[in-house]
Amino acid sequence: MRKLRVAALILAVVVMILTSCSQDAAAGLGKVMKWMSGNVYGIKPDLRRPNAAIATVDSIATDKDSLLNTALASELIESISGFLGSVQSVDSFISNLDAAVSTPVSVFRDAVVDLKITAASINSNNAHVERLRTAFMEVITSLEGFCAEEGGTKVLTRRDVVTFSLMNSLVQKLSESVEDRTYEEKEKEIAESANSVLSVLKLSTNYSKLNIVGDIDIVGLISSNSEGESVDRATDNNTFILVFGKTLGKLATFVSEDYRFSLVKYNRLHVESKSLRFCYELSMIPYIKSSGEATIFEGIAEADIDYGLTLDDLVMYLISSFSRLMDSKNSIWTTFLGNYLNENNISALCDMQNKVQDLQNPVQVLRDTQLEEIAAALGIEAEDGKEPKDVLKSYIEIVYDFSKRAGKDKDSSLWDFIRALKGKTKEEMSDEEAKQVISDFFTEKVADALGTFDEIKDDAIYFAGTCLGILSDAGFDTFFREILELFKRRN
Amino acid sequence: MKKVLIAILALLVACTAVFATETEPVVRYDEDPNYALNFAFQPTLARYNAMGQSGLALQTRLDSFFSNPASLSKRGFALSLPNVSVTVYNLEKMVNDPEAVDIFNRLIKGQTEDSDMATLATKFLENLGAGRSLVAKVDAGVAMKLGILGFGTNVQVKFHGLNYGTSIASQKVIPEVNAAQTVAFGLKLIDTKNLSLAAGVSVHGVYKAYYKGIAAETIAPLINGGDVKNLALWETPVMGGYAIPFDVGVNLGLLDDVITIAATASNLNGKYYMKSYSGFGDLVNSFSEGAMQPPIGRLKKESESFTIDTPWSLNFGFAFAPYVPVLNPVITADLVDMFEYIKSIGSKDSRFSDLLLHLNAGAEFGLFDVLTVRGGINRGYLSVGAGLNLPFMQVDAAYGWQEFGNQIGDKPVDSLTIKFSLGYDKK
Repeated sequence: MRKLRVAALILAVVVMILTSCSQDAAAGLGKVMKWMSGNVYGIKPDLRRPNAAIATVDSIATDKDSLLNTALASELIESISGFLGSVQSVDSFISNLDAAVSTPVSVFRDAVVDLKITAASINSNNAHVERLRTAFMEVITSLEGFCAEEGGTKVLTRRDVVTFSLMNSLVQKLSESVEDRTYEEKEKEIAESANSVLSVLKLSTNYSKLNIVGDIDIVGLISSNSEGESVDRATDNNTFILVFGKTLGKLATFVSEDYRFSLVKYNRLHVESKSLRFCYELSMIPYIKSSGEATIFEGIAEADIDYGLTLDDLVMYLISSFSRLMDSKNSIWTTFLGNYLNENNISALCDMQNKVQDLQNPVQVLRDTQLEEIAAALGIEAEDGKEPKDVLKSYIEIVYDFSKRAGKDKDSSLWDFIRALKGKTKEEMSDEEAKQVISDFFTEKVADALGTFDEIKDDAIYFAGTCLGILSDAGFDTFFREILELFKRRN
Repeated sequence: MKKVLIAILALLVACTAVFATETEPVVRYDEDPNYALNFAFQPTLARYNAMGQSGLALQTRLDSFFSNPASLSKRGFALSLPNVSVTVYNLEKMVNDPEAVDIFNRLIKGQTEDSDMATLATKFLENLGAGRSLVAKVDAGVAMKLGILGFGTNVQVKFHGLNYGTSIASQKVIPEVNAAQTVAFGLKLIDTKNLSLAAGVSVHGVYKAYYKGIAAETIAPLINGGDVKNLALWETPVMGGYAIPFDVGVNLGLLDDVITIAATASNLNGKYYMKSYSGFGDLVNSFSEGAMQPPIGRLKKESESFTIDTPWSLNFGFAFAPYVPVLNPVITADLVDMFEYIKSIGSKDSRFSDLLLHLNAGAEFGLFDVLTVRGGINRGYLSVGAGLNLPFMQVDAAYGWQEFGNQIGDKPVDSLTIKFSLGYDKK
């Protein structure tokens, strides 16, 4: 009853606070309101399941046999899937997952090699099946590359092992024959399994600075110089790394030259995004018509899964996210920028820190002298006859302009986008002509994209970013959900 | 490399193929059990909220018949012309945020900066967190009680929050608009001094429209002069449709209705027959072609039909309203959503203690029936409120917590409701 009496005063105080509030009064009221939030029956969120799931992650062994045993993945899925609808449980799990998944573990290269052999042994002479198998192989190769490049013991964490284990369970599931089940039953089983794996993957990738199912924190991809390495030193033939790293690196340089593209974090992004894509593809199978094929893989061939998201698209997507960070008053960006500025005692941008809205149009609000000061502080040099301040200006404008284009008109038709991008009206450019622009763009320009990305960067960024922006305004989860809906509707 | 290019092109062609069908895709928020929004229509009742969302057996005040039509059997006259209520959620986080309080202060003093409203909006959206939530709710309506008959017209705008992730980047806001016409009546079947039995039925004609989720990061910039009209009328797909749900209620009165026991079944026949529209303007034009002029060059897409089933609920209520001059006390207790619990009785999972999770209870003291204070417990969460009941004006306020998660403790959310009503509403 005492609780009720105290609480009964709140309403009047709320009104008082909201009409003539002091910080002290608000703080006092806030404490009482917070106190009221407790359940009088003493019921707390049930955290037994998330705690059990954390224990499962903690118990991950790293010897080859246990890693290739699908029981681990089953246990993970079983322990995690039970509380996915519980907000507090998920929050608790994610916060505790930090320590559990960040723990370095020993090498599991042998296990990855074995998994690759299993996937490679899947036979098919069908082009569609081959494509799907290629997707598996890409995931596994990413894992293998991870081991090779990072030397295993240095950076490999339980989180990577969780990803591996889940992928392993799916490959094993796909390797099974139909036996006495019908194709439809097996198909459903695989899709359900992929959905479960997807849920766990989303959780394990959600907690991280590489939140690829939510708001990608680009800053998380950039490490300090001591942790990361210059992309210029990435000498392998992975063009994605080069393109991605160069682009990100260039954007990062106007924040700080001390930051470098992190290959470790890139690798994690690579593996996780591939894994997610793999799961989404499998999840789509039931929505695709099939003619009751004799084998799973021939059935999957019927699915004709080909929505085409590749890691190359990630370049566009990530840059889009980066520009949105700048444009959406997102605290990640301002914090990042603010920290840098504070650390370097740069006063020129103080107004930008304090008045975040200025970031919406930074070039216009900055005076030439400020631009010069910033360019000098960031170590930006003259380029192609342009003064450093103009080089800086062009960087900022690229990001700013793109973010403007990518952020609007999400529900217009694709042709409207093309017209908008080309500054044409419907009368000036028909749908057919707009279609031709796409065709030309992809056949003539993007064909060389990976080799000469800088040359087409602007077009590529805003075009692909805008196209993806139609479907994706909240990360890959939304993107894939939309794609899934498309498949459902088409069938 | 060729494969990559072909794949990218295939994505575009797939997207284009969908756009080319000229049918507006259906957007649903009722299917995923972990994230499903409750689309059942219920007008906001500030008094009911303050008393721990209890009061099914209360037979006083005009709005009683919205939760239990049998209350109309207690004949009388009341008129509300109009009533307006505003509910804001997640207030506690704002009050505990010094920056938000500072902005509130500046708003009151008229010293706001351009970015203040956008900052405030961003904070509200950030506070919604994961899963489903509500941002705000606005109700407006008229109601009349005439003998055993009750009439009500309500318009309600809700702003749902839905977040499949955990940050504002994946936060969506889903505006929902309801227009409802209610007709109700209640009859006393037995009417003696010590025992009475009454029954009532109310029928609601509800038209509902909800938008496709709008990304939170799109909303904040709109506060400072974005094209809200275009976004609301033409740019955001809308799902609209109707249902004719009805409620039935039975009241058993003892000792001259000092004690009342009630049973209600609410939202029966809660199936909504919906269609997809490319924008709210298209929905309006489907009723009256040409009522709204779309932007030049805009293509209209065909609608697609679908249905939404909203759940019904079985509830029991108890009210104790002794005649005590000056104080006019009332004590209420409801057991809500009891159908599944009753079905589980006898099973090994059934526990008597779970009954507490269905229990809402409250109390009210009305000083001369003019100034009223209220308090209650809703599934273990506290609520408080107050009311001012003048001859031709009523003001009610309620503050309390409620559970938005699937389990108790998952996601408690607080809300403040202020309801203002012009008219006559006495016992």
